Amino acid sequence: MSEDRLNQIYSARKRLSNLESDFLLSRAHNFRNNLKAFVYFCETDPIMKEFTSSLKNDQSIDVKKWWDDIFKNVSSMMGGIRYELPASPDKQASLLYQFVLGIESGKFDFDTFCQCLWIFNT
Amino acid sequence: MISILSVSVYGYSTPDMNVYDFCNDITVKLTRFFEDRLEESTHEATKIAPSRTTIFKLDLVPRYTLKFIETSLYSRKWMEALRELTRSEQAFEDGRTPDCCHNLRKGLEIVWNNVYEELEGKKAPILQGSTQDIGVLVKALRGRNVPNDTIGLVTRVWAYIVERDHIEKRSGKAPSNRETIYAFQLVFATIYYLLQLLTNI
Repeated sequence: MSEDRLNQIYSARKRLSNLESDFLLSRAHNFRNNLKAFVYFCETDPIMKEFTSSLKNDQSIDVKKWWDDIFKNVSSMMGGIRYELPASPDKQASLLYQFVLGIESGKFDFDTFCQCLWIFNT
Repeated sequence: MISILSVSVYGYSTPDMNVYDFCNDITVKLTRFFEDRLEESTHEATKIAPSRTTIFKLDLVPRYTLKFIETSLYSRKWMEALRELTRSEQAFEDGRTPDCCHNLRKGLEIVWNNVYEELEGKKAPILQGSTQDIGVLVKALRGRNVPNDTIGLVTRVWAYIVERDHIEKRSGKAPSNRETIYAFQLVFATIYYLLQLLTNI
């Protein structure tokens, strides 16, 4: 039983390590595929599901509000828009995981996050 | 007239740079969080597995050495060192001998530094840049009556692994399998010895 679980954990560690490397080597053309593979792994791997279910269901995290807050002061973002993360590692992971799920599903727009359009009149 | 100015969270940048920044900013934090959780799960699983079962898979080092190192690092929450050592094993398994030696060097450096901190009650000084000041670490061992010939071996192991880590000094030649296995065994034996010092305080 414990040997099986250890093997599952080893397998998850190896896959996570590979996905992390893929992320760090990502370019614009393959980023979405890497993100999709990461989310699929997090949502289907039996060990990873143990972690992600609590991250997804953390009611204290309002990722939509966090997203809206980023763009609230859009008119004063000459130096780049900013965002804040919770100090607690668990809360931070909950927020980031829900955000990544939102990016992957299209609920949040990656390009908007990275390329926020500032429209102004001249 | 309406003009459009593109501003990014990460400043003005190209799509590739945005992806790079996003991955280094967002996804790395997440993957590290998961790595820590997986390490904890591994430790929990090995506790209920047979006593010689460890998170390390390769049979390059005696099981009891691995088990002692794993338990010591975990109980002291030296997760960074544990991570470097498990990564060294993974790198070796994947045939990435330079990465393996790099992780071994980092693992030894972290453990030696932490042992120093625990023995001396203060952080080990870092020389200019990020070079580790071996002199103070050696001095701390001397202060604990570690025999000179043992200190000599520890410093030779350090020199050996640093040499294998700096492949640019070897004309870009990656360490061979034979060298890497030797380095693996030397570094684990040295870490075992350093951790044993703490049990005898």
